[in-house]
Amino acid sequence: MRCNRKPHLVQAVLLLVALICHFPLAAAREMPSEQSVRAAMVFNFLKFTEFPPEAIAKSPEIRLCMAVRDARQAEALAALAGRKVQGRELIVVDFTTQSAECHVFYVDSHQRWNAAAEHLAPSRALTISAYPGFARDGGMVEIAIQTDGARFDINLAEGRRAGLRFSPQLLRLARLIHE
Amino acid sequence: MKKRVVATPFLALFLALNAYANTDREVEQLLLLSMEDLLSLKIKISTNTDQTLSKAPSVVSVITAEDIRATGATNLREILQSVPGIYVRSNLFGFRPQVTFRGAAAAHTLLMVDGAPMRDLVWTSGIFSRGLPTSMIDRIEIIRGPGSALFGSDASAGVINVITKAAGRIEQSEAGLRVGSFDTQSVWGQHKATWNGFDIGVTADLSHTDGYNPFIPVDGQTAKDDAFGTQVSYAPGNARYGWNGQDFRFSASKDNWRLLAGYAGHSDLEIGLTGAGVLDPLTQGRDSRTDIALFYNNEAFEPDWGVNAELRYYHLDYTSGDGFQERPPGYVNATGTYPDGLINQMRSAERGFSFEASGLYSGIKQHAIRLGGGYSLKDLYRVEQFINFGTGPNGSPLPAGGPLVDVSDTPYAFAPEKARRISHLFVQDIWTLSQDWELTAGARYDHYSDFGGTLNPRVALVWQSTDRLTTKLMYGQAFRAPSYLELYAQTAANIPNPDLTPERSNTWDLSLTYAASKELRLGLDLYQFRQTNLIAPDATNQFQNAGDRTSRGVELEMQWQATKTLRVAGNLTQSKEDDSPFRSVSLPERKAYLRMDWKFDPKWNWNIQANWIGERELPLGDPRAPLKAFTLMDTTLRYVPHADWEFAASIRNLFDADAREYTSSSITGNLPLPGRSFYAEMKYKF
Repeated sequence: MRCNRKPHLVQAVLLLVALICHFPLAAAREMPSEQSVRAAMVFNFLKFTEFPPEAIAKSPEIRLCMAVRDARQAEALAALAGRKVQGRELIVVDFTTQSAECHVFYVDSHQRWNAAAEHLAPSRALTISAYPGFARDGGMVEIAIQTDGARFDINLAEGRRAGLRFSPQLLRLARLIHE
Repeated sequence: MKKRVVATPFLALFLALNAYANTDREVEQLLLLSMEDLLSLKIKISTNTDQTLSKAPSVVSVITAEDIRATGATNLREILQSVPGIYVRSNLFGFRPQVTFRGAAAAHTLLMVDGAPMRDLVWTSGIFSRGLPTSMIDRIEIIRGPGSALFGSDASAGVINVITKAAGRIEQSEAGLRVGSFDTQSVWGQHKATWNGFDIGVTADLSHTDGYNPFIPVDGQTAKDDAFGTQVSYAPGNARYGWNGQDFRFSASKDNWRLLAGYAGHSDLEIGLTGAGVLDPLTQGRDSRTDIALFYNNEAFEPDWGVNAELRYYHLDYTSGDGFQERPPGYVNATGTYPDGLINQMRSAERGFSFEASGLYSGIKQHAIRLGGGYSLKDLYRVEQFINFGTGPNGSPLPAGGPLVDVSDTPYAFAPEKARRISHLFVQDIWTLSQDWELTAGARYDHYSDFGGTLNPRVALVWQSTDRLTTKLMYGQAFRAPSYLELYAQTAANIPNPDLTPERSNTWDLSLTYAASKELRLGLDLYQFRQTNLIAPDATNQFQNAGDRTSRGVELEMQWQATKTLRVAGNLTQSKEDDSPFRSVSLPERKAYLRMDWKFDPKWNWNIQANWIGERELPLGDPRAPLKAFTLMDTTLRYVPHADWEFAASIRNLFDADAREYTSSSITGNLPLPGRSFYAEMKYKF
C-alpha cells in the first residue's frame, strides 16, 4: 500500500500542475507582448490594403520582408508565415539588399529604413514600422505601441505613389493620416 | 495499472508544456480579433526594447493622463494617494506633500520628472515643494520597492517618474480653464507643432489658490505664552496656505535626439505654520526650478548595440521673503523680548549638471546586457541667511531685540556653500532563461565626493507561470545619501555630523498578477522591507547613523471591467511594523482605495473614488489618542458634447469628512485636512 500511495501523490501533484498550467486560455491573452501585437497589426494592414494588380498578379504568394534586430519581433512576424491573405499564401523572409521582390516590408529602425529604402523603391512594397517618425521618413504605416493600446498613422501620399489603396475601414481607425 | 502510473505524469507534463504561451499561439489568438479590438488591448511592453520605467521587473504601477482626467485630480499629490503602499502626508509647513512608500519617511522616495530627481542638497523634498500640476503630466510610472541599482540615491522605498507631455506625446493642442473653492483658478495650454523636421511640444500652466487655510485653535506658541505670561500667539487663527504656480515646458525631437526644457516656479508662497507649529502669517516665499535635458537614443547604433546618452542641467533657488517668522512679534524667552519676533530669512541657490551614457548589448543569445556610467555635479553655490536670534556671524549669541544680522558665508549659516560630485557605474543583464522564465540581475556603484562609495545590487526572477499568472520574485538593496542638513547644517534644532554614512535598505518582494478573465485582473504583492543605518538625532541632538526598522506588508489590487461602460478598480494595503524605536509612526498601516468609472452615455463619464486611511499611531510620549481613520470621497462628472469641447465638475471630500494629519503635540488637534470643495473646468481642443 505504501508503495502505491507515493505514485498516486506524484500523479495528483503533476495533474494539479497540469491543470493549473492548462487553464483554458481567455479569448485573447490579457497582456499580449508588443511584438505579437505589431505582427497581428501587420497582418490586418495586409488584409485592408489593395495592391496594384500588376504588383501581385504574377505572384502566387505575398512576400513579407523584415529588417529587424529584435529576435522576438522576428519570431512574431514569422508566425504569420503560411497564412492566406488576399487569396495568396504569406511568405516571411529576412530582408537583404539581394532580396527578391517584397510586397510588404517591415523595418524596426530609422537606420535600417535608410539603408533599405533605395532598394525597395522599385518594388512598391507596403512599408510598415513602429519607430517614431517613420511616416514622416517616407514610410506608409507607422505603429505606435503604448501600454494602454496600439495606434497607427498612415502616410496616404506614399501609399498612392506606390499604387496602394487603403480601405476606408482602415483609414477610419488611423490616429493620423498624412495626406 | 503500471501503464497508467507512467502515462499520467507524461500526460501531465505534456499538458503543462503545451499550455505555456508561445509567440505562435499569441499571434494566432490576436489574429482572431478585429482591428478595433486589437487597438484597444492593453500591451505588455517588453523589458529590453522600451526605455521607460515599466521595463523594470519590479512592482510597477502606471497612471495615465486618462486616469487622471477621469478623477479630476489637479495636482500630482491627489492622484498618488490611489496607489497601493503610497501615503501622501501633508506637512504643516506650507501644506507640502510628502510622498511616503511602505511606512518609510518621504526622504526614501525618489521623485523624478522626466528622469531628473527633484531632490535638492539641503531639504529632503524641496523646501517649498508643491507637487506638479496634472495638466503637464502624460503618465506617471511608479516602482514600489528599491530602485537604487538603476537610479542611485533615495530610491529605497519607491520611485516615481513623472513623464511630461512632450513632443511626440501631445496628440492635440488644447487650452483649459479651471475654477474652484478657496479662490482657486488655473489656466493651461498645450500645443504641438512641427518645424524643420522637428516635433515641437509646448505646455504651460498658471495657477492661483488662496489655500484652504485650516483653523488652528492652539499653536506652538500658545504654551510659551502660558509659560512667560505673554499673549503673542496668532492662535486661535488660520494657517494660510495660498500660492501661485507657474509651469512651462518646451520639447523638441528629431530622429534620435530629444530636448526637454522646463521651468517650474511658485510665488507668494504662504507657509501657514513653521516647522515648530507656530502660525506664521508673514512669510511670502518664492522658488523656481529650471531643467534642461538633451537625450540621444539609438537602439541600432551598431549591430547588436543600442546606445542611450543624456546630458542634464538644473538650477533651483528659493527665498523666504521677509519671513520665516519663527516666533510672533513680542516673543519672550530667557534671553529677553523680541519686538519683531524671531526672524529667519533664508535664500539659497543650487545648480548642477549630469551626464549618463549606457549601451545595450544583445549579441549574446537570450541576454540583453546594459552597461553604463555617469557623472554629476551638484553645487549649492549660494546660501544667504539673515537672523535676529541664535548665533551671530562671530559665533557669539545675538542679544534679544537686536536688528537682523547677516550670517551668510559664516559657519553659522543654515548650510555651507559646497559642491557634491557623484560618479556611478552600472550593469544589468536580462537573461531569458526560457520562454517563460526571465532573470534580471544588476548592480550600481555610486561614489560620492563627501562620503565615499556604495554598491547596490538587485535580482529579479520573472516566471510566466501560466497564461493567466505571472510570478515575480525580487530582491534589491538601496541607499539614501545623507543631506547637507544632516551633514553640515547647524540649526536651532540639530547639530550636523560630517561622518554620517548612507541610510541603507534591502527589500524582498513576491508579486503575483492573475488575469482571472478578460475583464478581471488581480494583483498580490508581499514584501519585507528592512532599513538600516537610519539617521536620527541623538541625546545631544546631533545626527547619527542610529537605527533599524523592518516592515512587512501585503498589497492587493483589482481591476474589473464590469460591463462595457462600467469599470471598477481598487486596492488594499496592510503592513506591519516591528517594535523598533525607528518604526514608522503617524503613517497608516492600513489603507484602501476604490474607484468606479461609469460611461453611462458616450458623451458622459462619472467617476467616484474613495480613499480610506486607517488609524495612525503617534510617537512614544505623545499623550494624545491615535489619529482616527478617515474616508475621503471625491466625484467627477465629465461631459464631452463635441470633439473640441470638454466640461467637468468635481467635488472633493464629498461628505466633508473630518480628516486630520499628524503634527507635533504643540498643535493639539493635529492638522485638519481640506473639507468639501468644488471645482469646474472647461477645455477646448484645436
